[in-house]
Amino acid sequence: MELIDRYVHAVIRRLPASQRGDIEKELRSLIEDMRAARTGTQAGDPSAIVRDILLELGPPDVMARNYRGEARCLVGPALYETYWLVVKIVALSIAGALTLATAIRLALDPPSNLAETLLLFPASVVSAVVGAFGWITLVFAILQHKGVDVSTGTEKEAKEWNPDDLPPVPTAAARIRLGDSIPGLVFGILFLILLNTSSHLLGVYFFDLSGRNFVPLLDPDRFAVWLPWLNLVVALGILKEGLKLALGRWTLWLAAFNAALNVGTLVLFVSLVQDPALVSAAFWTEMADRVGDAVGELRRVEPLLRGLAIVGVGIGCGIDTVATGIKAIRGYLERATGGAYPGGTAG
Amino acid sequence: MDDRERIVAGLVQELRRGTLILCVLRQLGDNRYGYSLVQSLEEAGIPIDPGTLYPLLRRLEKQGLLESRWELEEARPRRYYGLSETGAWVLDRLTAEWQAMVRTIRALVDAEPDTQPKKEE
Repeated sequence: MELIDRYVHAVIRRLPASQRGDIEKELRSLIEDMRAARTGTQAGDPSAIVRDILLELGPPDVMARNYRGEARCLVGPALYETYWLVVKIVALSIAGALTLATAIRLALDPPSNLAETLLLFPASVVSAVVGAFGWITLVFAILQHKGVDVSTGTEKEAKEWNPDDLPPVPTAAARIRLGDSIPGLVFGILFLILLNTSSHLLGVYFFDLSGRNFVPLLDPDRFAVWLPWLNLVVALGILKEGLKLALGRWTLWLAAFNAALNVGTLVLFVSLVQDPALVSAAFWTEMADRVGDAVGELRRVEPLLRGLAIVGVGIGCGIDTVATGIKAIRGYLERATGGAYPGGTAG
Repeated sequence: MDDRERIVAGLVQELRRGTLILCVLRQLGDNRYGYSLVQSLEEAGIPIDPGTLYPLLRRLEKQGLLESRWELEEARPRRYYGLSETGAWVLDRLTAEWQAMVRTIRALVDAEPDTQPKKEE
């Protein structure tokens, strides 16, 4: 019966190859049994009976789903929250970076076909975001297929879970909200992209009768020496924001990591600012050509400016280190004395 | 009204789904093939789709509750299922659980019903 062949094929092609032969045999046997049961009672043409049987068995995809036992999905509920968070962060970062890069490019080097560039911009953002979406989805689909669990270990804890282990609700100070780390993440990724693609655009721009003129600030060769270190610090910063997001509160380890990162940032900043070779040699001569005496004045106060910048960043890092340290220690003390807090066992 | 009927139908389906395995295991005292189970369950007032029963039998076999073998009968092969030793043990336990549950729930259901709908006066 051709119709039976088509039905059986439609079911088994949706099943794992290892089960196909067996289930095919089973289905054919079932259909034969149903047919035998009907030809006894039901008169009429055999093909009508087969149609009737197949209608009763239901759509082949439903039948195949019953045999598979579980709904198939690309990214299942266990992974979905993580997946969606990653998609949002990456999409936002890419859209932001592209927008900024395009804006800078348009400002510095207005193309003759401005309208076309502007029209193409949304398309390029959409295609970049869709591309990233596709890659992330692919990675998560593979994780799903392999049965990998990327949750934060809560399932493992659940085995020997004890209500007393519940951390106290963090005080407003110790708690890290979603909104606290998202801007840091987005900004970090954006900064990383700009650092590696657009550092040559940093400089002084003159708009005069001769049109746009640009004096680059950085010496590209010298900057290339620093770039890996900059990348490292920014990447660690992104990692820190990710940890903040995952942990949801300031732990001692996180505060220690933050402190180390602040020290690293400060050291790098001091070294950068004090590297005379970083500013291209052409910068000062060209600036002197264009604006004359003002540059001399600038060069005289330059050491002072460097010093001020270092002190400013140093104070910033120091305050951040101490503030997060205090939050972490307070959180730690709260956890250590958790039972003595209102709602605990003792009063 | 239609919505209410749908809710009832869905809840009844949940109840049946929970008891289905017990019904199937109880029918497997002697070896049976799939379609004869469909028929006898239907006669007993428990209509079940072959598309539900056949995969269920495979799953129970995979769990080790059932054993199956193909037999050639009336010139066509049929897969016969029977309880394994584990299956028989599980069925005993499951039956006892069911009877305890029936007693408990009957006591609840037969108690003075509290079905007065709350209505605004």
